[in-house]
Amino acid sequence: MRALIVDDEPDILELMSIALELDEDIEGVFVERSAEAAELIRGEPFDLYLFDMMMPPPTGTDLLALVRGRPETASRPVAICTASTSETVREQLFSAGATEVIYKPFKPMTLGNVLRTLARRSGG
Amino acid sequence: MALAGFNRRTATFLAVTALLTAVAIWALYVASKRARQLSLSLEQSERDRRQIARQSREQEAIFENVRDGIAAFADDGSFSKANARAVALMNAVDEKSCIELLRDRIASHDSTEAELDSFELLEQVQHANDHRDIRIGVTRIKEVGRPSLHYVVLSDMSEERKLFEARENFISSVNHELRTPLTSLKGSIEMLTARYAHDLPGSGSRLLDLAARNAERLLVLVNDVLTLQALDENRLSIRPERLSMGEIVDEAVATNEGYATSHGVRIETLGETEGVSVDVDRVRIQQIMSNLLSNAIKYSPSGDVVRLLAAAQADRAVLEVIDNGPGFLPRCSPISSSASERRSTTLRFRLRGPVWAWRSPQSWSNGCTGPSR
Repeated sequence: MRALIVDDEPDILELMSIALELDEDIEGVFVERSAEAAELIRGEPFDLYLFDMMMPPPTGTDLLALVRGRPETASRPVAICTASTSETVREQLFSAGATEVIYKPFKPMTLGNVLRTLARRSGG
Repeated sequence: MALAGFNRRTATFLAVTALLTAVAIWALYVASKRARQLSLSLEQSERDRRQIARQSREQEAIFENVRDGIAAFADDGSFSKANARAVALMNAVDEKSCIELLRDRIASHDSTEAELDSFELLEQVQHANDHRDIRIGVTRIKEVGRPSLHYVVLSDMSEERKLFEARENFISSVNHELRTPLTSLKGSIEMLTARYAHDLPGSGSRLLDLAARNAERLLVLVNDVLTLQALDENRLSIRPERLSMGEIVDEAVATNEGYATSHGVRIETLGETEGVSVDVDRVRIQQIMSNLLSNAIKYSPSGDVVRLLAAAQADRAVLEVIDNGPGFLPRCSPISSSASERRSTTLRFRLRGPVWAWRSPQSWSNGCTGPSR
């Protein structure tokens, strides 16, 4: 399973990278710059996507819209990672097409299971 | 004989003269006294007049310089007054037009027959560069046979809204800025513990535990700030779900055991929770339990025990945190001011239905700071 993981915080990316290194069934592609991520989204589809919400443009919700706007990736699972605990934000993310919302701080030891569950729910 | 008659007449004359003199002296005395009293009254009146004038000037100064707009008027136009702030908030040219604008705005509100009626309107008033939200608080007094009186207080809600938005943005920013490094911190500690704790010497494991506990406490503090903000704005979300009492107790103990250990305090659970379930918000109940347990732990002497009692009583489930710390100040005690009674904080849950009751922080309203001692 190929996962595109985007976060402008290098420490969070490294944390996720270390967390997933023992999950042999998950190949993570870790990208710090969201503009670079947008180019990757336009290329070969990934099995699932994980975006931080608050990044310099394009933001996580911009990347979500990009994934949903392309026929090849419209139905792929997308999880948005956010520090906001607002119920309104959660509803907005689901309305925008997010498959799951992950709150910071998340448990890195469970990240692999979360991504696998996400892929299974979406038929991946 | 003629002499006797003369003497009689002279004596009578002298007597009458003396009497008249006495009357005149008495009249002079009374007049003088009254003149003095009149003079004193006039002086007092003058002092009263000056005092009234001074108070009137002070009230006028307060009236004109309060932050809010104030206006008052009678229905029949016989009386009206508005301060400069009211004129400015209504964007009127003078007091008279300000009153007219208020009269129009208020007239649209449904009138009741009550003698005393209070209500609030939120109106948009166009100003030079923008429109402002003005809160208009009205008290209307009706008396039979007399025109109704309106007392109006105006507040500029735009400034309040800006402050509110600024505070929300600040808290949101702080929340994000704290959670992001917390994610790396807690996540790293958790992975280090899970993967490499067995390779560490004893002191290394203890250091990891210490780091993990404090990272968790930092997260609790960040969450508490958001909870307080949500409470303040009446938008705290509660999502009840059916949980077993045993589950609630186990999670509360697991979350707070490390903190207890660091203080040399033991948590002991008592009571029977088999088969007892309640409808509560999972996150909120643990927030409450953590606040109560951490307070009890913090104020317990080292080596002591904090007891968590869970039980079902009739149609209620009870959670009680009991400690041997110094206790609440008498005026702050939610239970009793008697020092001989055990110090505890009690939560009671109705077993059927989603509503649960607990002692709110208002119980500690007499200068106390809530459940924390």
